[in-house]
Amino acid sequence: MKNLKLKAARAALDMSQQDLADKVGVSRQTINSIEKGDYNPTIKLCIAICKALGKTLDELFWDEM
Amino acid sequence: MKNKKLATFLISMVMVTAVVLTIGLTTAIHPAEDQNVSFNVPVDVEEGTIVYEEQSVRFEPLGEDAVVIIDSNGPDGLSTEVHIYPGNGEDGDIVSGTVQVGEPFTAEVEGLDGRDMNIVFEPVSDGSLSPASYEVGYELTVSSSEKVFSGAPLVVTIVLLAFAVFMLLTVNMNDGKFDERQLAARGEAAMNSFMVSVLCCVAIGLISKGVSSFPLSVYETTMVVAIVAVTTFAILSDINDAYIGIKERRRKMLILTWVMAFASFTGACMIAVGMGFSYDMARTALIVGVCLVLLAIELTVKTIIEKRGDRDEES
Repeated sequence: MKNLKLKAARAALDMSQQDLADKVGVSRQTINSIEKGDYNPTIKLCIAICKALGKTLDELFWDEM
Repeated sequence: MKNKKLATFLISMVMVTAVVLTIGLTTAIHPAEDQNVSFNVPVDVEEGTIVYEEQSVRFEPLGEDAVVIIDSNGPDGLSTEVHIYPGNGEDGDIVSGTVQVGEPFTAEVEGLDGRDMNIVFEPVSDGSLSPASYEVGYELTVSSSEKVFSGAPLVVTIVLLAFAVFMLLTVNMNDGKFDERQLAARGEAAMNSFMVSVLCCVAIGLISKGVSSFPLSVYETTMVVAIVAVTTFAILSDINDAYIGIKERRRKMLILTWVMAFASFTGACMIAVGMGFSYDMARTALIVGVCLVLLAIELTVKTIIEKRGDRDEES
């Protein structure tokens, strides 16, 4: 399932996938895979992304059914 | 975590050391090469007797035992009495026999005890030859039980072990080079390439058992399996964006791969021109070149896709 919340948060800060990848220390393809829902990141990477985007885990990764 | 990496390194190193040392030491101490000697003896057949110059051949110390194969050619009716004895002949001959023309004579010589070995040849006529001058040719092949030591395999063993230490340290100490998704993808690619290499080894082993003479050498077989496994790993990793590290440059890797592929093809051609294409090193270099070209093509295609992905962030 696509993570549109992450994509929206990144776009709101006018960051490219590469910018976010550089900030959290992963490859651009990894950020792309997370946004597309192809890869489930570890909690360590989730926290790093949240910190980079100034969001909480709930705001980016909690999926309300 | 550090202890786990150290354990991984040590276990891998023990495995490599055990295999390389066993093969290296076994190769370093090997049987002496066969010695080949050939010569002709002129024989004059006169009424009721033959005239010849007695020939003896002396071999340097051959160890405990030796196997002598004597082949002779000349006119029918002229056989040869052979006497084999150690040292100066003080103990008498230990093997004697008759060599018939065109029938190889094999003698297992035991009890040399590290002394020289002398072989004396005495042509004998069965009386059917008319008086004339003849010539008898002899070809000797001597295999010894003596073990000789060569330093070259030992040097190669030490170099290979040093290379193994370097490679295993590089593989295990890649902190931060790849992210977590890349490491998972590389693990999957490594598992697949490992299975490919195992299947290749099993297939080659079974096929080689099914034929009397397997056309590929050990060098060729092992190198081909290794390069096929490495190429499989590289292509599978790159398809999953896990071959190039986070801080590595794709363009650099692409150019390097094409250069290596070109160098392999050039090397294969040079070896083939110098020693013939049937030489296993030429064929191996060619296969390495083909694998590198496949990898280079994959890297090129992926680079084009990457560029588009960087532009619109979709790939």
